[in-house]
Amino acid sequence: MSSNTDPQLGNVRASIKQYYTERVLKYGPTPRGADWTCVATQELRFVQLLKLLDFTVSFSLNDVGCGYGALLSYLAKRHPNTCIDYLGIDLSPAMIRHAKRLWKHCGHASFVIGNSSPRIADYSVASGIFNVKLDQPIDLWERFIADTLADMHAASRLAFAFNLLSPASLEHMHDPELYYSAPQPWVLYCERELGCSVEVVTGYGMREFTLLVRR
Amino acid sequence: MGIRVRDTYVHTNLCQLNLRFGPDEPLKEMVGLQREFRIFSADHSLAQAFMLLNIGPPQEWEQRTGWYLYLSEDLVGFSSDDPAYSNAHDRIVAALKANLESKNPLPVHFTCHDTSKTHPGVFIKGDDTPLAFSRRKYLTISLPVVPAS
Repeated sequence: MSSNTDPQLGNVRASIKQYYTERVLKYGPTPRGADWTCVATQELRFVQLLKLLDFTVSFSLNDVGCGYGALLSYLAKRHPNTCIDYLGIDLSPAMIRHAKRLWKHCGHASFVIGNSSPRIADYSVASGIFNVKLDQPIDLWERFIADTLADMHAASRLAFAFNLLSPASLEHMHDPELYYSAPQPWVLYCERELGCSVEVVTGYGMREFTLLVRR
Repeated sequence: MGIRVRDTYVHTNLCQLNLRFGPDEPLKEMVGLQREFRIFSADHSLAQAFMLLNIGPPQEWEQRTGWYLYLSEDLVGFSSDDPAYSNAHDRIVAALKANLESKNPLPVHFTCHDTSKTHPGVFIKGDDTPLAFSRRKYLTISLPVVPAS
């Protein structure tokens, strides 16, 4: 069954769409609207994800779960001289509306509603999209992650990157609506199922890790 | 702060600061942010730093503005407890920077005091044990305030 016609994954995506639409309607195009603590932690995650990229040359980039396009703001600040052909993809039409409004004068950026990129780019990144699982059972959520990673792999000419929350040291600190994982299962998935090489980035101050996955 | 921000929001702000600079994971996160972005430095005001960290009254615009005005304008008018700094604002920025960039950074305990009763400006103490329920060492930063009438 294709992932787009799998009713269970369809339900997962519908719940994600509803959750983030409610967030952005309540808090607007702000870090809180995308469920981040603040701009600083959001950008610290971008720093790790973008370790994948070579900013000395121009490239195309898919931003899966782009929200209101916060990554563009970071790229403009940190890498203003690199020409980046950017496509933001998000399940929430409200997020995409905000993104299009915010970035309407940015000629090299476009946005689409969806769960996967309609084009192949040099790179794909996804920040935080696997963290909030809501009330989905873990095995279904992991199927959603695997499916999304396969899509990112298919839509990336060179490499892709994503992040996941690490388990807390104390079990009672776990939020049942969040998904936590050790790196290893997802390293193995990317190596064995997708045939890629994987670099694990940790130790940047947050209880999470970033996987840089190269073809 | 007392004049600029309503009583309940003073508590909210101090609570947010103590959570974000608290022991273990929050402190690690703050150290990581400082390493990457140099959030606390002479290049950024305290208001800019706390805006970036989204520390302040979450929803009410007037209260949020009051908090950032306290940080950017009022603190400059208070004295420093260290003569190396000309005002409370610069002293706090320097103390946070030094702590987060040190080999053994301490969690930070933020509190406040009435300047008419004790210290006339900011008061900062390292290796402090400010919590009655904990022997853990903190960097204590006591923000100078004037009570609202």
